[in-house]
Amino acid sequence: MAVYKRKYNPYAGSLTPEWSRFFVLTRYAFADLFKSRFFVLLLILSLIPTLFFAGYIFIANNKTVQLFMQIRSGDLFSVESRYFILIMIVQTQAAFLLNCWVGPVLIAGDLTNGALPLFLSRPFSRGDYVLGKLAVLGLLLSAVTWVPCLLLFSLQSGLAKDGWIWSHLWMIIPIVFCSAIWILMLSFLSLAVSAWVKLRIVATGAIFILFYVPAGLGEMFNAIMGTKWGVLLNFSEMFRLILAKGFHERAGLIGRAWEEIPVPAAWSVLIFVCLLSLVVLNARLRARETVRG
Amino acid sequence: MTPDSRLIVFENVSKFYGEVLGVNKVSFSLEPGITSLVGPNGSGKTTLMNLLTGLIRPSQGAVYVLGLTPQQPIEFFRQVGYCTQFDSFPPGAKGYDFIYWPLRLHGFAHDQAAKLTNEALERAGMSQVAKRKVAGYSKGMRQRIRLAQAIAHHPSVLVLDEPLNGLDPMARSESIALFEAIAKQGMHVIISSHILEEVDRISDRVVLMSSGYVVAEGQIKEVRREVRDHPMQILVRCSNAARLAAAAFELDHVVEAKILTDGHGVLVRTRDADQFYLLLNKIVSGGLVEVDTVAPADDDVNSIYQYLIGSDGGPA
Repeated sequence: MAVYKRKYNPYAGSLTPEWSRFFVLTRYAFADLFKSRFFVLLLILSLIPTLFFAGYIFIANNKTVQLFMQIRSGDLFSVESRYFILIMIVQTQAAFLLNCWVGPVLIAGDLTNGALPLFLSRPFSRGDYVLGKLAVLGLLLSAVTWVPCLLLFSLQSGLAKDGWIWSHLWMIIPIVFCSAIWILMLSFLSLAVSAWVKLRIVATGAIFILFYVPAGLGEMFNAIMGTKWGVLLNFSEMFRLILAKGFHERAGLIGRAWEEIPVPAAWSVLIFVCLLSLVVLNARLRARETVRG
Repeated sequence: MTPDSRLIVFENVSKFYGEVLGVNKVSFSLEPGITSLVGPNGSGKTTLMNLLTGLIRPSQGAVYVLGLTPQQPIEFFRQVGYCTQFDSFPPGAKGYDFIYWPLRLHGFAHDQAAKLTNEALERAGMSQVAKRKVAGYSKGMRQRIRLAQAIAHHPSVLVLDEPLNGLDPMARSESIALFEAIAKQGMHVIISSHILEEVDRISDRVVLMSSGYVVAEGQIKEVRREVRDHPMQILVRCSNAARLAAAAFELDHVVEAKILTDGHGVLVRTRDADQFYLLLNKIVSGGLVEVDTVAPADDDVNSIYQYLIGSDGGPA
């Protein structure tokens, strides 16, 4: 038996907290994303509506500007819950488009390049991996949904008088919670698609199909069966129902007959989509190599 | 029983992918040094490596790496460095990033990760090209950057899946030198390879696999001695080959004594090598034959592979 001399020893210094390590993947993904000019352009475009909404809030609260622009107060749409529903709908659609661009490459790139064993042969679980990827979409979509919405809420609170903030403080809850379920559903769905489909264009198409084909089938089901429950397959409608009810609105800007669908059913549909996506991710994200030899 | 914290131990390990057998009832323990996994395609080498690196869990049995199991992921993965056989590179990654980011996954802070990255790049001779994209590397450079990544966190066990595949002779030689240097530092180096000549050159011991089973395991010479179905071949370079051949034939255990075509040696096939060496001693001391060299002709991995597994990959 040879006598071996060890020339180096394992590192014995301090380490970063275990809970924060999934952010390594998030940081790497963001560094990669921001190399793309198209992504930066898309992100800027997603935030442009917020500027218009902010401008509107400024005009709605500024008599001098209204006089200068020869607008009467009565002509303006009041900055109340309906206005915030409108903001949320516009921004969540922007989030949908952003998600369609970013989501499909997050996992597909790693699977195509066989990089999963690279990550998972570290003190890093599949859960950490999904969390790291989810955080990319979570942060990104937050930046175009509830964050600008809360900033607009703050702007309105600052400009409005007579304690507007205290009478509207409850709106923070639907802004945050409705955004959260939409972001979660979009993120899980696109990660699941990304784990299944390798080509970006096909994956993006698949996300659109998953959104619009079931909605169409639901409409057909409603027409044939003379029922309303087919609308449960329309995820956008379900989100809008949750949004409108969250803001205590009976008939929102959408004008659909979703009043008859109970809100818990809408929540259940969106949560079910998240769970189904998790099942797909669990099946697809395996550390083992497919070729044995 | 607490497994030895120096050894890699497989205890009756089986792995099934549904109804497909990966490996079956594998038991062995490995000491530090270079161990080669040898076997035909589909024999279960990669499954064994995936089990060893904690990427998959055994269906039955237990795997201990230096006394640790994958159920202790922080300690376990700190000890193991894995270099897969595939070009597993995140899209667009540069050589430096390929080592740096996985170190962050290990929990190293920026400064320490950067230091270890530079150290690993230097050890693998890749410092000059670290800022280039991995996609633009040659096959040999990719192999070396993978190796750098596997050793960057100072593991005690280095697992290399087909590390010599596709390398030119120069790159192969450099890689082997690196493996040997690492093993001499007291690390476990587990290599799977099809290139038997090189396996033979660098390995301290082999694990031969076929159809998911471990066919033989141990030091190459020991394994050869255990293969009793095939008589040992001993090549003797000497002055009076005919005399030696005649003397050898008088022994019961010698099944063949072939005089070499140049007439200056004999190739003996014997079932008892020790007895033949005793005879050779007597002949040499009697001055009947002048011996230049005596060497076993088939105690290499290639011969063992042929005897135990067969050239077609099935059991011989």
